[in-house]
Amino acid sequence: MRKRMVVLAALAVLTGCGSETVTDTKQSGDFQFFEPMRLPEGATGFEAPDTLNGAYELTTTTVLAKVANVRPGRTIKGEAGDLQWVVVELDVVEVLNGELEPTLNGKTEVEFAANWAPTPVDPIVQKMRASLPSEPSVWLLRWEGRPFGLMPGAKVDDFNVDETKYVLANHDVGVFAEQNGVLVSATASKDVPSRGARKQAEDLKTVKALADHARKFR
Amino acid sequence: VANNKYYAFHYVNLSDSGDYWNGVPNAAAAGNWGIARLDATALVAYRDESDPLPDVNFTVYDYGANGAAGFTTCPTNNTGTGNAHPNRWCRGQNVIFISYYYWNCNIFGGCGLQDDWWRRKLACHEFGHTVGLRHTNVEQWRNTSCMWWAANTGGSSIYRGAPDDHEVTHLNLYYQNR
Repeated sequence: MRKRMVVLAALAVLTGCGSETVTDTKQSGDFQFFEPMRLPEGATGFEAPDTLNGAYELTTTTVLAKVANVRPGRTIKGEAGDLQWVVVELDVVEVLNGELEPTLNGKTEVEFAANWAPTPVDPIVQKMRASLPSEPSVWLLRWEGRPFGLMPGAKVDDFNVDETKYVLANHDVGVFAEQNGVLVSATASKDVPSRGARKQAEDLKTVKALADHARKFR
Repeated sequence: VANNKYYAFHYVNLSDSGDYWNGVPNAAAAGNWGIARLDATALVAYRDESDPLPDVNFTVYDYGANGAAGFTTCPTNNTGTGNAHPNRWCRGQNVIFISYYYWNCNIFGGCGLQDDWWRRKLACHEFGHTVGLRHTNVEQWRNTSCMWWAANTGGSSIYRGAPDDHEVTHLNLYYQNR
């Protein structure tokens, strides 16, 4: 009996005992595109602000955009491994608030950390290309050349950033798209409760309603 | 997870006094805190820079604005038997504090690296991953477990630098006879 209890306990540790399944993890159609953009289980992300307006304040711009293409990006080499990135090229339909970084002349490319070498990044790119979203989605973006909240002594020029790219302002509220007619945060970690800015956005139900909300924030 | 209760950490290029560019101040002290939290369970966790095959390598590095304050990874050259599978032994896991989010914090209220309590929580969290704990996402545990999924939860004054009793029980049951 005791041995059985140990086995059950071990399984509970390894399967995340007590987890609430909040996010609809059924992926269908072009929504699979966003799957590689979520942070993996071993990454510790950030909760979004309490309000959507607070989330907009983290951004350089919020845009309504379609995905044009995906391609392999840079690799950041380090002692703990080489982190490989993927670039998502966007066609901006409308700037909802903020403004695109002027030095980029309208080119809107978002990079995200995809995996660690030597695992190849090409299969991720191919999978994403095969499921490009057919409809525009709302993207909350931060230009990487815009530092803020700097700690004293920070050497901005030494940051490992690509000033030709944007990143998601926060994965919890990075991209909102409609899945089976429901507005969801497409890049939030799986099985994480929807709260604060994310919940406020998802409660708006549609991309159109969220775009309307974002337009009012200037 | 670990193959047995004896659990060695190797700090890679960490200064105990901290505060150097590309690093995170007091990261080593935070690591010591995290090790102590595991050592308080059935695990025998310790720091050993002379171990050629440590269970965990702990370091700090600027891996850019990737969206995470910290990572736990099982590299393909690990010397365990698990590769990236969460239920198998991985010796030579990497725990990384992302220094970008210490120096350039654009998240409301902090990025999980700005003060000692946040750093302790992050060390506890990542080290917890290495021994098999997964994210806690039940709202009632938001402020009581270091395994809550986000690094920047609440204010840094909220105590959450340790696994909660539920998680400690799992660790004790799993490792006590290994």
